[in-house]
Amino acid sequence: MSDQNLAKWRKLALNLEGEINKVVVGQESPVRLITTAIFARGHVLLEGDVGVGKTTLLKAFARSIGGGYERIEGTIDLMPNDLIYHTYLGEDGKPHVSNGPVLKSGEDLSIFFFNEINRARPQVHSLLLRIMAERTLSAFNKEFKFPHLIVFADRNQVEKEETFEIPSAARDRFMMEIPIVIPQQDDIMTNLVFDTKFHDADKLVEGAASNLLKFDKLNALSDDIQSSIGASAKLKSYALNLWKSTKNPELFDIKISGVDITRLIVSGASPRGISMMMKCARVNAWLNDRTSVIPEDIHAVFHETVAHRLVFNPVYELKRTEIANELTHELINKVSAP
Amino acid sequence: MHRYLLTIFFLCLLGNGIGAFEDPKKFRDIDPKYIDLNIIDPEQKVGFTVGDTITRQINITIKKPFYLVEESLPIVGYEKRYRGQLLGMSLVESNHTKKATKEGTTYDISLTYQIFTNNVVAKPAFITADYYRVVNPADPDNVFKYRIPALTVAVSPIAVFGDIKVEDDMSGYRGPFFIDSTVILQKMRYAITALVLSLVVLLYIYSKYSWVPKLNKWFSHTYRKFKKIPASQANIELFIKALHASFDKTINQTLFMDNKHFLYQQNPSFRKIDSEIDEFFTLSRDVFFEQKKAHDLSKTYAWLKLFSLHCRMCERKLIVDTSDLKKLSS
Repeated sequence: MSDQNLAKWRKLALNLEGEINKVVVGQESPVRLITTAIFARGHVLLEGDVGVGKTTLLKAFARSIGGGYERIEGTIDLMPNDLIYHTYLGEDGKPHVSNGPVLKSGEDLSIFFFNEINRARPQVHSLLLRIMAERTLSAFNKEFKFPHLIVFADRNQVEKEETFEIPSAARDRFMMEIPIVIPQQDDIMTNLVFDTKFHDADKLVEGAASNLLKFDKLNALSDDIQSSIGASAKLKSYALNLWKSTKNPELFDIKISGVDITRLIVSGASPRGISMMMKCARVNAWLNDRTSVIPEDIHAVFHETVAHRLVFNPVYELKRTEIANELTHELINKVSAP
Repeated sequence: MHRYLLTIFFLCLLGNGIGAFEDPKKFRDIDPKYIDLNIIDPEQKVGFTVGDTITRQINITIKKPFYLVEESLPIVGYEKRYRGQLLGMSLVESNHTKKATKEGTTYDISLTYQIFTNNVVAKPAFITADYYRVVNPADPDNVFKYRIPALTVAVSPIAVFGDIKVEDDMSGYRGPFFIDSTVILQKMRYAITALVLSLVVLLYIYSKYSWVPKLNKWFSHTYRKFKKIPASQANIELFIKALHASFDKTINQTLFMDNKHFLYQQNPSFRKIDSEIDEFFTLSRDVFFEQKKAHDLSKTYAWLKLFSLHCRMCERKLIVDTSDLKKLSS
């Protein structure tokens, strides 16, 4: 793909951001990160309190990307087969089997939105894990492929009852875990409360332009971005140091108050995690009209691509969000570049 | 009745006897031919003050048939009086030896007086005359006396100018008091020297290109190290790396474009060269990460040298004139 084509796509990507920012206000950073994930072809897990606009945000993206869009709600009694098919008695009185949300759009499935993923059982997580990793599914003695699929999932960290912790292997499949927080600016908060257009989320989502991107071209575009955005030897060395620091933060003089840093990390970022981080950093460089990755591109995606992959000592798991925030912040601050 | 008469008689005798001891002057003077006297007095006659002692050596020979009534020698503790007034001198030590010869008896008497008085000005004081009694054993009722002459000395005050308050004693005879100003003048000289030195140091500190202790930190080290190196690609990389390290050490964490506010919080002086810092990061990216274009090495080196000088000035919180760098950039 030519440089001109990349520039054209970059314009489209920025348009997409603009459209989403019109619908979901005060979330510019998550919007940029989701855009990055879309062009890096990675799955996204949104994390935040109830009612902060996670679902609205993802629905708006789904509308603008185009392609098949399916959605399922995570519940405690949801079983893996509920994703693949459902059975019913037809008007003819005979049993019928129809495709579940995963199979309904076939190969055109571009976005699968799993709402409240942590309410689903581990069996469901397991199925999703395969779909996310391999983008294939075996059912009815047949293998289904979903080459354009991106999974968007969300969970809230507040409620713990009737929820299942997503295992680290499943978390690792997500390219990013993006925290969504309530905007702090007074004018935005006032608009969210008093502007009636924000009261009806479905109507709001319709305000975003639909089918802005050609979803079936995104994979090729992503490959092109990855191959055309360079990374210098210094940058590689910096990324490598960052990776090492996730495994042994004590070697980089990282200190977190109230945490024994030598006991904190059970397992640092995985190779897949760091490669995803670099993929995202390249996309970020492309979105910022650069031809090479710079440390700031890594910073822009570091927390969201790395924090959810770190496995903490169980003693510190309860305070995971706060510790992970502080840790990634410290890692960026202490690992020097060049 | 007899008893009463006897008692009165003895009392009269006693009273008579006591009277004889109390006033030796009433005895007749002995003929001086019977006495040889030699007195050694201290050479110092003035300048005595409270606590001082004066020792007199008296060598007296009493020729036969007379002999000395030893009880008439001065007794330790006796306070000298003159006309009934205490003189403030007491006998504190008395020693004597006697030696009998064919001609008579020789006494070596040592008398030590201590002064218990003082005065605001020097005043005469004296050890009054003593009267030693002598008697002829053949005629014990006739007691004679011999006068030991008085010794006149002067008692002085302890302080040079007298133990007085000046305002209470404005004597016209006393000259004005002068304070010795040598020490004060010396101290003043030291103080003025210290003040002048401090002013010079302050002037130095607040001047444009000053060396300031304790503020000589990371950037000055970098500037010193790299200001005279050849402008090669490798050296420029090292220079940029050293500048990055200086920034990192200044804020105690890694400085990037997206956390410049830490630097400005730490040292607001760097805000003055904000655009230069941006330019430095752009240069750093070009050199280390993007490698977009070839640089004019000598121009880049000159720019880095000036930039590191500006950083050093910011580190020292001095006024930075960025126009030279802008000229170089343009």
